[in-house]
Amino acid sequence: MSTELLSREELLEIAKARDEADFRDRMLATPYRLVMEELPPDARAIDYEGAIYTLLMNRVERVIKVAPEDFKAYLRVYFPLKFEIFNLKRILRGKHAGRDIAEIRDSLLPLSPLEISDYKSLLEAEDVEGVVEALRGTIYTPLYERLELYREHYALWVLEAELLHIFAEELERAAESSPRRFRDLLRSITSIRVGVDALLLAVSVSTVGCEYLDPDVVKPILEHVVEVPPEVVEVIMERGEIGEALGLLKHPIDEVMEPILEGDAAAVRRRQEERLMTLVEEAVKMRYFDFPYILWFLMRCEAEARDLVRIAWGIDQKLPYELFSRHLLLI
Amino acid sequence: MSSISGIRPTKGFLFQMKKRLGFIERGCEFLKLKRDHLAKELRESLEVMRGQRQLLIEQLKEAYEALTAAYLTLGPMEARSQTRSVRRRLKVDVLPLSTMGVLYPMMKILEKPSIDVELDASLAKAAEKIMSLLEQLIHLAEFEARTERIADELGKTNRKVNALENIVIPQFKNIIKFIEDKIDEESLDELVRLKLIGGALARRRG
Repeated sequence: MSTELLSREELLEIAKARDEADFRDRMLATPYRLVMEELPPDARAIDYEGAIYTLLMNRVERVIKVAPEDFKAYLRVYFPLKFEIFNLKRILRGKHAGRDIAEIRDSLLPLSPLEISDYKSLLEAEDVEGVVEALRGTIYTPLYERLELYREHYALWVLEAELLHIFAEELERAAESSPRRFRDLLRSITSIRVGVDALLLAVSVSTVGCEYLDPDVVKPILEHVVEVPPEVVEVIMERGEIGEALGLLKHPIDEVMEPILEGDAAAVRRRQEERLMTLVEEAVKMRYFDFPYILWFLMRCEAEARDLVRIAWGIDQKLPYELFSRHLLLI
Repeated sequence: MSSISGIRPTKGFLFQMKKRLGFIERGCEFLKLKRDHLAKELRESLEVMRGQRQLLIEQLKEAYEALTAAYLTLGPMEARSQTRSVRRRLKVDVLPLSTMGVLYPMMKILEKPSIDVELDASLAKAAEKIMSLLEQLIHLAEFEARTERIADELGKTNRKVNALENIVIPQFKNIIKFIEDKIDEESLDELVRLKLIGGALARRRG
């Protein structure tokens, strides 16, 4: 499996491409050629992103298919379900802003439906309410309970927060059903993934001055994240005191969140990814060719895909290598 | 002198020309005042604009850096999906204002963008920076439009003053001189004629 991955040197080579044509040529010399060949010669970064994620989704599906049954539940939630939730958010945003169906459809990750029957019925819904209605009867049913808040305040972030809550609940459920020997690792992963996402959500809605701010929407997300006391959300959303909020966090979330004091959310995201990779790599050292290895492989695939997209966009925008390389995880 | 064809060398016409010249000279003086005032406004505007622009460029640079970081963190598809979910846009009304006859736009913000969706924190930072600059950008645009129009009007006024001073007024003065000379010549002829007639009459009587 790991032979499919690009080495650090290969990624560095690709990152130093002179222009889009050179980037394409270098990518054609990698396992990504299968999806690159289908792109037109004048493809832009957003086209490359679609192609790179197509390969990522194929890899994820393939690995989960052959993974031992004990591990499938967590892998299914952490990867395909997470991506499905990205897609649902894009559909909700598109409907909220009145975008046309083709535009919303083109923004979706190339992913087969997992918990939903199809994307067509959601895309064809008239508005946000229609989408939420179409999701009833699935694991996304709790969105319906937030609809009233959405209608009253026209605050889409309330529904997006609920999707994160659903993701957190599914991760917890999947961790519970996984072999006992891995539960601590999986809970740590959940804490870092969900805890940091929830905190960044609280910071973000406070920063842009959303008219409706309610900590009670965010707090349930952190139910299983012991490193984040619920009052942290109140401190951020009601008082805007980020420094004070960070002081209440426990390790390692406090370290991951530290750059937010300088307003550097990009650095927080980077630390989050690094911490997750480190966690899993340490587990792999202890139990090679076991669940941690599969988790590590898929996380590595995802990190590689994200880095390639960053490189593609950096080259597309003619940014100097020194500028976009700071955001690369694997180089 | 082709420029003085159609001129009647009469006292009445001379009077009219002098009256017109006086009017043109007064108009020229007013235009000079306008020109000087516009030049002063332009000088002050350029100084203010230079300062404001420099400050805004620095702030815009920070905003674009934040936006770049957001796109690199999220990837272009996610960044685009989030940015395009902002529903309430900037609404601006453009009203005309006038200074010394120079029309320029004044912009009034009717509605500011409001963000009620979850933007990733990296994008939220960029959004916050850009929103704080919106009003300044609009005022700078207003100022630049005003400065451009003042400069334009200054150019036109200057050309009018030059045309009046160097062409029209000298032409009028030439015409007036010609008429005065003509009138003097005729007066002299009349005087000589009267003297000759007087002399002849005196000789006949004597």
